[in-house]
Amino acid sequence: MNRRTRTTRPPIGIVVLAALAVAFFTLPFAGLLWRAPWSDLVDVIREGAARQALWLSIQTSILATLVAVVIGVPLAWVLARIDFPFRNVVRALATLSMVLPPVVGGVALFFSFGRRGLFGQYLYDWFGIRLPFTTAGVVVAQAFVAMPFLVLTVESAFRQFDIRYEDVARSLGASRWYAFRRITLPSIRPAIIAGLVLAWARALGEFGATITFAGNLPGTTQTMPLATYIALESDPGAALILSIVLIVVSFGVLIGLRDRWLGNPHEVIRP
Amino acid sequence: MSLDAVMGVKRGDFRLDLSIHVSAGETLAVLGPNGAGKSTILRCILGIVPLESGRITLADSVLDDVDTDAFVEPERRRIGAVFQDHLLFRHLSALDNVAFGPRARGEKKEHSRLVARALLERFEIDHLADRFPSQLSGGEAQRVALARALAIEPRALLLDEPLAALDVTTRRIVRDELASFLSTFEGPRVIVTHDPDDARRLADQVLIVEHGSVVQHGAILDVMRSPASPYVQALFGDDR
Repeated sequence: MNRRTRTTRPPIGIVVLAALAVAFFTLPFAGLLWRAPWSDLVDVIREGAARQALWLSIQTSILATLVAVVIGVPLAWVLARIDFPFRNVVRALATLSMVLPPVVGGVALFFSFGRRGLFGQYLYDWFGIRLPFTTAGVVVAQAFVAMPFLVLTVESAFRQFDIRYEDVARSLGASRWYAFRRITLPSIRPAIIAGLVLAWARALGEFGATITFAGNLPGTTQTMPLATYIALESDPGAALILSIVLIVVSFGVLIGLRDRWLGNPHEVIRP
Repeated sequence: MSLDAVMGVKRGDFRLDLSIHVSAGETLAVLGPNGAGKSTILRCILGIVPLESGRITLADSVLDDVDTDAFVEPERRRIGAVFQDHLLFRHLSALDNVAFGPRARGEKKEHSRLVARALLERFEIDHLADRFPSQLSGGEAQRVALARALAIEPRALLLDEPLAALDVTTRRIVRDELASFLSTFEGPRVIVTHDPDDARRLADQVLIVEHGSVVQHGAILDVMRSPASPYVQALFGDDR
């Protein structure tokens, strides 16, 4: 072996540990696939409940991601660019739900936005809005736990963005808002997409906050993770099938998005 | 149409306190060591850094006047700027970089692109219209940046270390291009640099700035002949 191949060879220890990590991620799925009652596949999927849960999960997780983007991106910008007192406290508050057990988040949501909650009673009395045990409540619970992933990713991108690009844009005649929309946002697009995927994935898998705040009503609040957990007690085979469906959907979206959006856009465009 | 600025700005321990005057069709080179406040001068003129004392006027319009509380936002000043690393928008093609100014000022997309294409032709880089900044050489990026600054029909032109990012050979060529281009621009021109060669080739007068104040000001030959500080002496030292 000559010197060149020796120096370009990756360190064996790192490769072994990385392989261990891959095995750690893959083996559980192998076990799942191995035990799944494949003959029941068509029946379980054809049965209304599973399809209902999947459809509800897809809808609510997309809505929760939208909510996270619409209010999370502005929050990320404020955290990155505006120096105000207690900024660290606000940042900690905004990411608290990431660290808390989701059940605690669900309980907190219940006592604030429940029918008799601190704010929920006014939502109901004044606007007739009821969140607990409704599909809207599912979206709120999912957005509550998923948004921090987007906020953290996008805030770091705003910090790394060279602010002089905005200065150039303004010297060329762009208002602050125009420069933000046409220069800043497109420049950090990869980070927004990455944060969006993380938030969506977290929303799709949400269990604890959802079941605590929105309950487990088939067709209204019973999302895939809930349906899977319930099925585990009555019909473990169905639970496995539901899990596999969830895995296939998530895996497909992650791979699709990564290839299409997460690469360096300028490399992709290059002829 | 001349550019007149009396500028006072304080940033922590640093204090900028000086005035400049550039007539139409004249190029002023601002020279000085790192941290002397050269770029701050340009940022004040562009309106990115508001003055704390003083007044900036371009022709008969007041851009910033602390005494009368007048301040024109950067987007309404129509001053072209080219920066050291060009700062081309990386997600836009060369053509759309140049078209950005007219677009931001409310022109229709087609018209903005027509303006941009004409400018690219003028700089003989229309074949690069669809390239992205990452696909341009230093000299090409420089021309796109100039074209972009000109697309707003600027009343004055500011260049912040426009040649510093280029390697030595390209630098000489681009400097010559820049010199012939500058002579066609009718408004006042200000170029910030730390390279005496840039000043000699491009400027009519030089302003030497150290620690936020003017150390020396005048025609380049006069400044070279009688340097007013050790920095100026060292700057032109090799050629005397």
